[in-house]
Amino acid sequence: MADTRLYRENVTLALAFPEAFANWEAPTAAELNGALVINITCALNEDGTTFDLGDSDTDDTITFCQAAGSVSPTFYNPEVVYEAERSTLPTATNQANTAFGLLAFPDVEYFAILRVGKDSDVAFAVGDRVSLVRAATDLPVDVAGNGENVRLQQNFLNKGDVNWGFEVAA
Amino acid sequence: MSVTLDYVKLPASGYITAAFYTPGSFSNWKSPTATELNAAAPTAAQFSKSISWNDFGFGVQASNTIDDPSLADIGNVTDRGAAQYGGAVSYYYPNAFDDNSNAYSLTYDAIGTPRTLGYMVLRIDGLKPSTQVFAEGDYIHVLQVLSDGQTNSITGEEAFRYTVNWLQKGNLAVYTVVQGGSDPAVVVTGSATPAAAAKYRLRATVAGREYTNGVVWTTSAPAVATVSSGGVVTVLGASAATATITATFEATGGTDTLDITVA
Repeated sequence: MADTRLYRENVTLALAFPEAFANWEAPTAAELNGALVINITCALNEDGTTFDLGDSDTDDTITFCQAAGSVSPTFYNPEVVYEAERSTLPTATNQANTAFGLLAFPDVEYFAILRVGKDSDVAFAVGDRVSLVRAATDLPVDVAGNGENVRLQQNFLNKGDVNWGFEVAA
Repeated sequence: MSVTLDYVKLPASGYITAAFYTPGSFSNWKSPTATELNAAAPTAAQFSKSISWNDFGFGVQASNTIDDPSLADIGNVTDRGAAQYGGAVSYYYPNAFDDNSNAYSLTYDAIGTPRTLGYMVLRIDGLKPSTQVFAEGDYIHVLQVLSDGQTNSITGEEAFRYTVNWLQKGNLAVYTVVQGGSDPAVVVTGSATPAAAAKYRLRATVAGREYTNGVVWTTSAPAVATVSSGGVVTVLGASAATATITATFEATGGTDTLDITVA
């Protein structure tokens, strides 16, 4: 294949209830396509949504055998913010209202999910590159400005578990 | 491949309702009634009309975070700390004070004095203009606030405004549900006969609105079935074992239950 690069509309963002996975360190494609994993990609505003891995905390102490200046990373520091559009019809069944129901209330734990490389409406499959971050919801933040659409921002609180960039196994 | 959105985005302009209420306006500030909300003076429509988009910066913000992990926590674990809300709201000065026919005058009378205590109510809930009265089932924020500093915008060609900084006073109900004449009904739906080892999600509505993640879920028999804050049931018991799952709308204490029997 030629040296082609990946462009937009190749991102999937979802939320999974922790019960979705028998082992969050090795989720299967079947689990990722299950009812406890909810795809809300089309509700999320790309300007207000981030799914990044910040610099790790580090331990700069070294043993007698290590080179001076060696640094050991300790904690991963994921940064996950989902910003969802709001719907004009708040009682309709649509992705914006689904996202609202998942993001509007605090203290609900999920795995936030990012897949890069396929359209959001393509089912998860073996070989997909996926990242999982266990996170809990905070109070929601309304984002609104004159001439803009209303959005709901959820700044997730890290809950420790990170499975970054793994390849989905059978 | 582009996907057509299955919804229309909600515009902010014209579809945010703000209202101010004095202490004691609500019998239960966590879930006010529509009658209480519609009795405000100035009305929500008048109050909203008095607010300029310029310098508007009021609402709920991200909470403080607490970094206090236990020995058992693996990795970076952060907990939710104190809520953060409040901020600036800029109001138009009335052309004439003490004019009860003037929304700006009524608003000034209500909140123009510094250190006024009360509740700010915000409604962002679909295509509901501020002229639409509150109704049972509306989602609203109820935020207890105290007015503090005022900044005057009294130069140039724009209408004169005074921008009030609202301080938080601790009591807040975020995306709570407006009551009708009585406590809003809580309704739980989902399978009552799950298979052994099943994991599935129950749903809850409050006053007919989706509220699954907003209620508090509990189980009568954790050895038979657990239930998470998102309403996910994990069946642990054997065939014929039973448990009662309860959803509670904490604002009113209203509940609904679902008896489940493992198939």
